[in-house]
Amino acid sequence: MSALATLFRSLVLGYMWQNRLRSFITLLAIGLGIGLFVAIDLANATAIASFSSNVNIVTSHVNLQVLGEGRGFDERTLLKVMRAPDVVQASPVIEDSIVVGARQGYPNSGEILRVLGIDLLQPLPDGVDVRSNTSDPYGLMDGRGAIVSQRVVDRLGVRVGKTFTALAGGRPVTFTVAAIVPRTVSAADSSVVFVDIVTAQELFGKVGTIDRIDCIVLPQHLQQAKAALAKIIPPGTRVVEPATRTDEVRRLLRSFQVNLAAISLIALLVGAFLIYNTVAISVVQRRAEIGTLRAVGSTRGQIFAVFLAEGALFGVLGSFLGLVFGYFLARLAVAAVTHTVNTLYVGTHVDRVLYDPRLMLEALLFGITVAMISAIAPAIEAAGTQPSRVMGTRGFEPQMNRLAIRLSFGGLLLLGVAYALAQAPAIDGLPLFGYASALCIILGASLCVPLGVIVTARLLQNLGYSFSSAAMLAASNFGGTPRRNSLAIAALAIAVAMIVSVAVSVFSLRATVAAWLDQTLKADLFVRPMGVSGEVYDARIPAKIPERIRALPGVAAVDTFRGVEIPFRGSLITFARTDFRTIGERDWVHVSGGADAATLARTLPGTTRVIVSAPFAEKANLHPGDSLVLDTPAGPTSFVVAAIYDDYSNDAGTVLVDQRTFNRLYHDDSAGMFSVYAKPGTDLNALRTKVIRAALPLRVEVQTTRDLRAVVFAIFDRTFLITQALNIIAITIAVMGVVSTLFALVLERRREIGVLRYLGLTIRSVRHMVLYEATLIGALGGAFGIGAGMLLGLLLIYVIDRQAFGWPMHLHVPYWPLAESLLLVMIAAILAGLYPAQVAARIATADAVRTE
Amino acid sequence: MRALAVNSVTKEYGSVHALDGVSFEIAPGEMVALVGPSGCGKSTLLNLAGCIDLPTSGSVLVDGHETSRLNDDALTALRRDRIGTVFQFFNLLPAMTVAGNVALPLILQRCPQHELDRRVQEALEAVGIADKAAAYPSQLSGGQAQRAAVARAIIHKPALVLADEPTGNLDSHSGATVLQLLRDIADRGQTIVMATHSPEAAKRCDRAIQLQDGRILA
Repeated sequence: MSALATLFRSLVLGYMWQNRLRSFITLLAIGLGIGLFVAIDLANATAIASFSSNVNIVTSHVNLQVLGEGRGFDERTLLKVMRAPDVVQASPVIEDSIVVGARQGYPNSGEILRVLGIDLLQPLPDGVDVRSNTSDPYGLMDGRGAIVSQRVVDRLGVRVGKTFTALAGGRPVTFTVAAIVPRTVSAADSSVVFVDIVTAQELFGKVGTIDRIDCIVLPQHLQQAKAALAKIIPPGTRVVEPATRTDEVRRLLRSFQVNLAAISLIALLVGAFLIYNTVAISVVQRRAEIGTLRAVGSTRGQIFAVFLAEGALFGVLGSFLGLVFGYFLARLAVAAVTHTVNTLYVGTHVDRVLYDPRLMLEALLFGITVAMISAIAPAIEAAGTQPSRVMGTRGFEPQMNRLAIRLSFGGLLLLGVAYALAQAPAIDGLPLFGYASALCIILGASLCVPLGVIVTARLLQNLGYSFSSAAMLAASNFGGTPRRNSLAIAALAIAVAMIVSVAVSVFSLRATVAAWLDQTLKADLFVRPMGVSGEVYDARIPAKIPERIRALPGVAAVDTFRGVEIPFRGSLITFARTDFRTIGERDWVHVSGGADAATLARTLPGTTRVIVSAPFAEKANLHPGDSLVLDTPAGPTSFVVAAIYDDYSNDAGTVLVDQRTFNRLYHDDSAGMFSVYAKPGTDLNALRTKVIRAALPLRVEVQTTRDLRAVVFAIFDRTFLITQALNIIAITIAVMGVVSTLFALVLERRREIGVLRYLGLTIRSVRHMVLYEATLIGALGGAFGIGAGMLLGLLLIYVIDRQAFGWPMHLHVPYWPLAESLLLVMIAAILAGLYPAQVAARIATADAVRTE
Repeated sequence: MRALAVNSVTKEYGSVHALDGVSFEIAPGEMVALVGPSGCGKSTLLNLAGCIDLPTSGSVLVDGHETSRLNDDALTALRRDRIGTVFQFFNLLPAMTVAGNVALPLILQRCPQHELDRRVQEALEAVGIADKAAAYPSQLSGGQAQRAAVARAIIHKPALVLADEPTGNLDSHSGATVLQLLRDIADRGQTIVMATHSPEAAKRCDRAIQLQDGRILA
C-alpha cells in the first residue's frame, strides 16, 4: 500500500468512522445541497424539453417548420411548400387547445389539452396508428373522432367508442374516443389529443388556414431549402429549424430559470461551507497526529493530498447521495416549475421528469469539485503544521484576532466591489454582474463574521457573567474558537440572507403588484373563455359576444383585449391590442415614460404608435420615440414607441397597439378577453349571471375584480413557493452545520468540560453552556444573515430582478415575517445544540481530564 | 473534623480491584503524599477524594461530608466550594486568559466581580505570575502553567487541595518551585493530598501513604 493510501486510511477513514454521526450529518447536508441543484437543473431542462419533444410528434425527422406569426396562414401554402425543391415531405398542422372537465364556478376544475389537427393519411408515431385495424367507425376521418392518451381516458372515465365533452374556444364540443395512445408511446405527452386536420379547422374556426407545416428536407440541402421556402411563403410566416422555437422558449424562460438555478447554487454554497468546516475541524482535531506524522517523515504534500482527498471523499459520497435526493426532489421541482411556466409564460404539459444522465453526471462532478475546493484551505493548514508546535494549542485560535481584523477589511472591500458591480448593466438580458455582486455580498459578509464573533464574545463575557457562569463560559468558549464558530455562523448567515433577501424582494414585488392591480383593475367584471384559472390559454371570443354584452342593461362599457405571441429578437413577446380611445377615461394604464394616457388616447388610435410594457422596454432597451419592427401577417411592420407602461403580468414583454391597427394587420376582430364596466348601482352578481347567459353557447368565466385579485395572488404565492422551499432546504443544511460544529466543539473540549466539572460546574450548567453557544451561533448567524439579506434584497429589487424581469419595484420590508424568521433560526440553532449538549453532559469527568 | 477520612474503601472497575479496604484520615493543614507504582490506586483514591467517583464500599468523608450520601449536584457543590485540584497536565482552558482560568472556581461560585478581581490578583501574586494575568495558557511555560493551576486550586480557599502528579510534567527547577508553593499553602493551614511518583515531592510532605495493588502498605 502506498504511503498516501496508508495516511488516508489512518487519518481520514478511521476518523470518519469514529465520528460517524458528524460525518453522516455532513454527507446529508452536502447531499441536500447537490440534490437541490440537480432537482432544479432537471426541472429546468425538463420544462424546455417538453417543448422540443413535441416537434416530432407528428412526423419524425422534421428539420424545417413553416410557422405563422401569431395566427394561421393560408392552407394553399402547403401545396407551394410541397413543390419546393429538396422538400421530401410536408405535413400541415393545426395547433390549438380544448378544456376538459371544466365546471362553471370552479375555475380550477378543468384541464387544458393540446389539440393537434393533422393529416391522418400520413403516418402517426409508433403505437398511435390505429387505422390498420379499423374502418373508422368512430368518425376519426369524417367526424369528431379523437385519439387521446390513456391518462386522459382514465381521467374522463371513457373508452374507445365513447364520447366526451370539451370546450373548444369556449364552445362545448363532443368528441368520440377513436383510439387511445398507450402510456408506452413517449413521442407524445399525455395532454395531446389528435384529430383530423379538417375537424380541427372547423372546431377552432380556422377553415382555410393552417398553423404550421412540418417539413422533412434533404439534410444536405437544409439551408438552400430554407432559403427557397422563405421566398414562397406568405407574409406573416417564417421558416425555422425546430430548435429555433425551443430556443425562443428557452430564452423566454431564461431569467426565471437562471434565477432558480442561482438560488439552488446558494444552497450548494452553504454545503460548501459545511465541507470546509468539517475538514477544518478534522484538521484541528488531528493536529497532534499530523505533527507526529510530520515528525516521522511525512511530507507537506502528502498531508495536503490526504486532506484534499477527505474533501473529495465527502464530495463523492455526498454527491451520490445528492443524486438520490435530486431524483425525488426533481418531481416536486418539475411540478412547481411547470406551474409557473404555465401561468406566466406558455402552456405546457410535463408527464415525467427527464433524467438527463449528462446533467446528473455534470452535477456529480460539480459536487466533487466544490467539495475539493472547499477542502483546499484546511488542507493547506494541515500541510503547514509544525511538528514542534502541536501540543498546548489544541483547539484554541489566539492568532485569529489579527487575522479577523484583516478578514473584515477584505470583507468590507468585497462589499465595495459588490456595490460597483451592481452599477453595471445586464449582459444579453442576464444580470450577470448582479449575480457576481450577490456573491461578493455573501463572501464579504462571511469574511466579517470572525471579527463579529470575537467582538461579541468579548462584550458578552462580562454581561454573561452577570447572567450565569454557564453563559459567561459559553461566551468565552465562543470567542476562543472563532474560526470554527465563524464557519458555522457564516453558513447559517448565508441561508438566513437567502430567506431575508427573497422575503424582502417577494414582499416588495407583492406590494408593487397590489398597487399595480389597484391601478389596472378598474373594470367590474372580467370575461374570458372558460379555461383553467390563471393558466395560459389562448381562445378567441367572436366580436359579436362583447357587442351583445355591451347591449345588456346595467353595462356602461366593454373593453376587449386580444394578444398573440410573436417572436422578437430570439424570444417570444405578446403583441396585444386594445381600444386606445378609452385608455384616458378608463385610466387603467399607468404610464411610466413618454406621453400621458390622455394624450395617448387622443393621438394613438389607428396609428402604428404603440405603448410597450416596462419589462419589454428594459430588456429591448427601448425608450419613447424609438422604433421597432415586428413580423405581422402584413409582413415586417415598423412601430414607434409612444410610451412605456407598468405591467407585472409577465416578464416576457408586451407591445400594446390600438385595436384598429391590429385588426387591419391581422384581419381578426375576435377577443381573447373583455372587461365590463357596470353602471353605478348595478347588482354585479346579477350582471355576472346575465353575462354568462348572453355569451351562450360560448362558455365563459366571469370574474369580479376581487376574484381576479385573488387568482393573481394565488398564482403569485404559488410561483414563489419553490423559492421558499429552496430557502427551507438551505436553512436545514445550515442547521446541520450548526449541529456538526457544536458536536465537534463538544468532543474537542471534552477535557475542558471535564475540568469544569471537576471545578464544580453542574451537569445542568454544562448543558446550558452548550445551548448558550448554540444560541450565540443562531443569534449571530441571524444578525449577519439579516444584514447581508437586506443588502441582497436591495440588490434583487433594484438590480437583479429589474435586469432579469424588467419589473421596477419599491422597497417594502416585511418586518414581522423577518422577526419570525430570526426567531425560527434561533430556535433551530438551539434545537441543533440539544444533542451536542446532551453529549457534553455525559462526559465522564475523571476520564476526560486525564486525556492527553 | 478531618479534612479527609477514608474508611475501609474498596473500588472495583468490573473485575479489577483498584482499591481494597483502604482507610486513613488526614487532619486539616496536613500535607500528605500518596505514593506507589503506577496502577497502585493513587489516582482512584484522588478521584474518590475529589468527589468525581464513589467507592464501591466503605466511605469517604470530605470536610465531614460522606460522599456516598450525596447526589450529583451536592457532590458538584462540594467540589466547587471545598476542593481544589492541581493536575499533572495543568488542564488550563486554552480559550481563557490566565486570570480567567484562575478565576474559574470563583466564577462558578458566582463571586461578585470586584471581589473576584481582587482575589485573582492575590492568587496570582501568591504563585508569582501576576505579570501573566492577561496571557493565554499557550503562551506560558510548563512551570508557569502549573503555578496558574495551583492559583486556581487555592483561590476559593478550599478545605482540601488535591494534586495529581503536580511535578510530573515539569523540569526539576519548575517542579521544586511548585512543591514549595504547595508547602507554603499547607503551612498556611490548607490540607494537601498529593499523588506522586517523586521521592523528592514525597519528602516535602508531612507524611506519605504508601500504596500497592490497591492497599496501604504498613
